[in-house]
Amino acid sequence: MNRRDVLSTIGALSVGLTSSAIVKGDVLKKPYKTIDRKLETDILVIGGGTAGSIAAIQAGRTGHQVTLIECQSQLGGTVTTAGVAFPGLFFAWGKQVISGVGWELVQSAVQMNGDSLPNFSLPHGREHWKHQIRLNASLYALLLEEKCLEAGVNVRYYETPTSLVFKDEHWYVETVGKGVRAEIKCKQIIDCSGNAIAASIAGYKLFKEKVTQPGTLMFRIGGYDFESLDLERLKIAYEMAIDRGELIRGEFRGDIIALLKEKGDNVQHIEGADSTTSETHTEANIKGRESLLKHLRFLKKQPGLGNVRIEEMRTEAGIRETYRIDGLYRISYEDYITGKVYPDSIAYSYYPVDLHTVEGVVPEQLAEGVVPTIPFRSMIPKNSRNFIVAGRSICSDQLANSGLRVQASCMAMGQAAGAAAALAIEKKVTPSDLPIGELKKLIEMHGGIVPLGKKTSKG
Amino acid sequence: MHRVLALASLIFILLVTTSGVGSNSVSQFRNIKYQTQQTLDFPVAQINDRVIYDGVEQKDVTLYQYVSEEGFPVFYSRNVHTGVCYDNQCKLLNITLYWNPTGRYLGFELVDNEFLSKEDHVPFTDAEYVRLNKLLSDPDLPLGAFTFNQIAAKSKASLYKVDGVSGATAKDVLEYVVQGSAYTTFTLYELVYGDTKTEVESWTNEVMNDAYLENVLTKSPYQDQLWAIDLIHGRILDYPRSKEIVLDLMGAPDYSLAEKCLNSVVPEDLTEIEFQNKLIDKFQFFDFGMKSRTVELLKETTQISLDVVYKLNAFLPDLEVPIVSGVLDVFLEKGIDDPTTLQTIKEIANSENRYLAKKAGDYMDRLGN
Repeated sequence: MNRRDVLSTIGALSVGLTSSAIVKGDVLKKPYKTIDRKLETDILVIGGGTAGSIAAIQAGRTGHQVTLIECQSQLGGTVTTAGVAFPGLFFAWGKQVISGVGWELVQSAVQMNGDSLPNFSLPHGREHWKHQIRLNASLYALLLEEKCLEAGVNVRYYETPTSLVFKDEHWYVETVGKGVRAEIKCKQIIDCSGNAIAASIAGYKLFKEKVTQPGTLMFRIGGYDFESLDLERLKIAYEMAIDRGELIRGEFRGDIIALLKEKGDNVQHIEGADSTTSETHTEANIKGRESLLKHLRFLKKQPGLGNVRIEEMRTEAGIRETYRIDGLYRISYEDYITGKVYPDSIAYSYYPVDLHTVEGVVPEQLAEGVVPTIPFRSMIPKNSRNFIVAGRSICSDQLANSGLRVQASCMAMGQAAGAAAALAIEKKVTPSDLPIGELKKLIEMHGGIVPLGKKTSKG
Repeated sequence: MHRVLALASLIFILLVTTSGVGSNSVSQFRNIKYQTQQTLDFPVAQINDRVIYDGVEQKDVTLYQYVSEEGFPVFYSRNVHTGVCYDNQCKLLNITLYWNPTGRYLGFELVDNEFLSKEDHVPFTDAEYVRLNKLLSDPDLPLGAFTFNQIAAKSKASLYKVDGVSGATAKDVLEYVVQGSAYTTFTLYELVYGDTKTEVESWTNEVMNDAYLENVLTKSPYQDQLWAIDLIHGRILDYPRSKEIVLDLMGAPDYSLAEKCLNSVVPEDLTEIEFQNKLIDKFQFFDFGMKSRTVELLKETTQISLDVVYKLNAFLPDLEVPIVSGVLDVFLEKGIDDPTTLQTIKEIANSENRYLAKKAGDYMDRLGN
């Protein structure tokens, strides 16, 4: 473009700016208006996290119409968006206890990323995390989405429910998303929000502890040589900063060395973190980020840490505990640590009792041979119809929940919920009236493992 | 190490190996020597040596390879002369370390009249040598996750009276060291699992052949078998006898052994039709996860044999839904349209499961007549 052309273009633009905001290439749009949608589906899964994405895939693979709404931009929840990308535990005492859809995806992610599985045959002892599986979170999100689409699931991101009404054996769910309001009519609902938000909106009772477990913002720091640091000096500086009120001990479990040693991996604690509403989740995210920034500024002033930097940070804080439903059965700590098996046990859940507090966490390992199980009744809110909950919001006391809330167990519960919703439609019953034997058989036909179930699907 | 000394050590090792399992206290011998289970118990016929660099000692050192008549590496050793330093004090560590050919820790030996000592030069007791040997033999010991800096921090902590306030506490470290000898234990652990281990594995890999692999896969302890399976990942067709053993081990009751065997196979291996057929013969005995993986392998390989197609057809009615779906994907991708397969798929198209029925229907639309 020569000088004359440039000047003439500027002239034209000036004229355009004074007469209208439109320049060549722009299209005049009418004022923004929210789109209203009316949708109908068999099964509506609310929340596409650890349990919900598996529930949707399972339900889709039964041949039913499935719609999945997720308030974030990708599937996987705590594994992907919150970055707690080391699901477990799938094996207990040398035997696989959780398989099916979740295992299929985890295995694919491991294989495709060129990783290898831990040796599950060797006992993990007190280090149960040795049996957790490090995943590439981004790849896992891609695989989840691919499997959902392949199973025919209608995935709707950025949507959250605002109203749930049950009439004429159908649920009418209103959702709101970016520029979209939807009314979704469905036969069965699976609430995998992690906060039982749908159950709450539907009017079912929820529990919440006065003091819940803290959340964690996942990040990775770098730019320093741990071996060359004067750890003693650092500990003293840290204690002094806490004394001065600059830092809060509980935010990193009082362990500045662990923060540096682990490079930030799963060491932060955000007190009272709650993801139930956009307001509470915003607060948790801000607290987590402020805490990280504050500690980063402190570290940068310490010898050998002048170049410390954030190498990666997840977009939101991971939440361990919020609301749990008042279900048809409440799993107690006693049930959990004794590995109680119920007639309606539909999944195993193997993980130590793992209650995080401000002081830190001291996991209580399960006694040798014990593998807790999940009764289907704990996934059904009292007085509900055509409604199932999967994931950490199932009915359980806090200590039992601290063990069964973990990702592998949520995957198993998600699969069971997806199968149950499908079977309930086929049998024309509400989930609490399902023939449990048939449900177990359906789960097994899709690769899942059910407690005390015989492998009906093996050749 | 002088050749004669090395041979003396060798004779010792062969003597104490007879029991074969676990840790052996040998305090009745002139030297203090402890060892764990050997990978393979072959007589040594030759000793080779090579200079390697060790990052812990930060210098070149000599690594000895003890080889059987058949040319199989039996074990490796090297002498360690290094200072264990902390709080501006150094203690000389003069010890010979032994490794199995798989890099797994084999044992240690102290030269005549040498002994390991704790704080204030108190010698180790027999029980402490046994504990040291046990600690060193655990590749997953949490001590490996500590750093010298962390351990050193403990001693200085008391000066500031803040020990236990932050960082891993002394108690944490004590569980994984010989009490009063944290630095020595830590240094030895670093040496055992450091550069030399990698050099040992690499040297064994250089001389690896089918006969040797066969021995490791069939006669060695569990951890060494796993090591061998990892080693042949993507190379299974190069080792015909071992290939058969790996196929057999895919049916092992031990999950990790079976899983590692299957995961040592890459899609290119399935270009050998005989191998593909043998793998599918195992298929019906696999659990869901292994079946899933096998279907993925079939998807990624360039061709499948008709025998494999027929076998899969026969298995289909009893397979889990996601596996049936995966097999349909494989068939579709490879353009399988023989009458038997089409008949099977036609039946699936009438299945009660609408997901599978739709998939089979789409298949018939694409490849059916």
